[in-house]
Amino acid sequence: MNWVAWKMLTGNRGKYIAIIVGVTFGAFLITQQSSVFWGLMVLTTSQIKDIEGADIWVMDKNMQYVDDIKPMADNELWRVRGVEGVDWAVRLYKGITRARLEDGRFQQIIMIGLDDATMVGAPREIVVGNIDDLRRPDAIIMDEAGYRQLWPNEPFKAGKMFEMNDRRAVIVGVCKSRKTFMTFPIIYTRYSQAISFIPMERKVLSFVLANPAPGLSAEEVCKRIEAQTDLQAQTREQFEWKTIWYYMKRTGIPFNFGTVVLLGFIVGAAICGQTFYMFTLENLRQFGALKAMGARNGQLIMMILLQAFVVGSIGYALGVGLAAVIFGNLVKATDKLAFAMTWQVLAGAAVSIFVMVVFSSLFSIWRVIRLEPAVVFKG
Amino acid sequence: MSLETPDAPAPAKTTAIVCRGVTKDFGVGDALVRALRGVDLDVYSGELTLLVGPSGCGKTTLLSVVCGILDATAGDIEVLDYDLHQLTGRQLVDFRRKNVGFVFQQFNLLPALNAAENVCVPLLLQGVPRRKAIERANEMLERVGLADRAKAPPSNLSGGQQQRVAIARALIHEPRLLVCDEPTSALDARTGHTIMELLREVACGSDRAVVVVTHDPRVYEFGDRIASMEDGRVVGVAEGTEAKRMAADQSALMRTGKN
Repeated sequence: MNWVAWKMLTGNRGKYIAIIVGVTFGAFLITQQSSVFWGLMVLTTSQIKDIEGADIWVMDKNMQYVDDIKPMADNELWRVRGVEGVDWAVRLYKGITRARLEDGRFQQIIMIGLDDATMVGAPREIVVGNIDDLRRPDAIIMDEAGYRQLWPNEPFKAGKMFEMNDRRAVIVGVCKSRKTFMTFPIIYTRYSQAISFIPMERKVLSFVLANPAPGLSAEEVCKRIEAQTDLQAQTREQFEWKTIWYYMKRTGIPFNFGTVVLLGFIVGAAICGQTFYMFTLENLRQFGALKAMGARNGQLIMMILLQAFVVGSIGYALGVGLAAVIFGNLVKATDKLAFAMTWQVLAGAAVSIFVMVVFSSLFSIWRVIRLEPAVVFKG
Repeated sequence: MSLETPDAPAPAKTTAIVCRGVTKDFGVGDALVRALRGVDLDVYSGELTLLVGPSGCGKTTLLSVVCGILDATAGDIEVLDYDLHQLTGRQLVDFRRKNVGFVFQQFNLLPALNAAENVCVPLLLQGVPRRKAIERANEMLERVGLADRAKAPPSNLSGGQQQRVAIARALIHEPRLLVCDEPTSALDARTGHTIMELLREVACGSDRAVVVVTHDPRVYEFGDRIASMEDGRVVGVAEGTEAKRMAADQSALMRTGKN
């Protein structure tokens, strides 16, 4: 009877298309909004991802996310190094400072201060210059997006200068980096240089980056560090999730995106459900005839669910495809769009669409189950 | 007309339907409507039985009860040796699927399926593979004279052709009971006559009982047995020569415009 269900569905082309349009709309909106939401969440972790080379991030125990910097005393580095199981540990400065450009403009800038000796956490892809150039006085490397933001339409080149904390900074290179949530330019410099670009403070150490000794897991070493230093130690992945959860819990981002996702679900379900129900009502006599001829309720339910599954699958594919094509191309065209269509987003959208079409078909199923086959004898 | 007629059925005839004191109520309390008030009726295999009577007399309700679509409120109903009272809802569905063919007043063909596909639906319900079911459907369409219209959708068929498709659908799984609800009322007189001829020709077999509900006197001539209903009861059964006389009387009345 599945074949009959398929023929019934596609036989009424107008309603068939209308139902698919409803599901497509829902799938598009759910996927697009979820992808943008997740894209934003991923942005919050981009600086953790960009600072590679260390598996363990050590920070103040009250720190809640990557930008919630609570500076530590420099001697915390030695305490971490003293923990058994720590292979190596280096310092890292991360903070936001204000730059004064040559033309007098001011610009907030994210500054990363790398360990002078090892340069752990340095950008991997240098577009202009070389990482060793950072060893020169006043040297900084700026990210591409930041460079474009400050000097639009100008080619990347070394030698640009600006001031931070009344000290001269010279761009010696341009690097690639992930987009950040803050969208400020990012500069990399040596730790010792970084602390000269900020006002004098008693504590300036933002993070200690460490790696576990061979044979030990990062989780195990994190536990040891926390036990012995009263600091907070997180693996890279833990720190990313900690940051994401902070934004999820403490900001209105999930709620705002959630309302649009819910709207997509409701509107899609409404269009789909209403059209699907009308479709069933139109075929009620035929369903009655099938019941009279000996079709079981289970068979009819399967027919309706199959129809729902078909329109759900097609609508999902179209909705997701549209979102991928449109926003995939937009992402390529602009660096301002946060859009991460991960398999989790696709799976979530699939579950939503599945729930939507099943929910939409419930009214039809209810109507058909309650249908008296004797209805077919009424003229 | 009496229940006991001189032309009693021959002893060899098999009783397909036995109704004794069948009642059917709809609603409860003040809203209670008694559609059947103690129906006694025998229907035999190999015969075409007409259920006739004025609108609202309970013909269609009785038809629905004997084919297992509606439960009787009281009384005994035995159909094809099944005591319908003893069957569960699921068993009744199985009973209908295997043993009953339906011809409806409004045809009730699935508009999305072509003629052959519509005809094969009862076989699909029984789990017969589609290819085999379509083959059988084409054979059935040939029997009802529509072999050349097998791929036509219902919307491209005339009313008479649609009813032929419906008859083919009702017979494809070789049911032992064929129930027809006003099969000619949506058709003009000539087409209705042709449909009744077809029903007699292809539907009536020694092992199959055909019950036709009608209030169209022009089809009385096709009945082996005519059960007249009034106010929820079978008030008389004419058979044999009496049935023929009844049909002739109705024809005469119609010719003189008194009916």
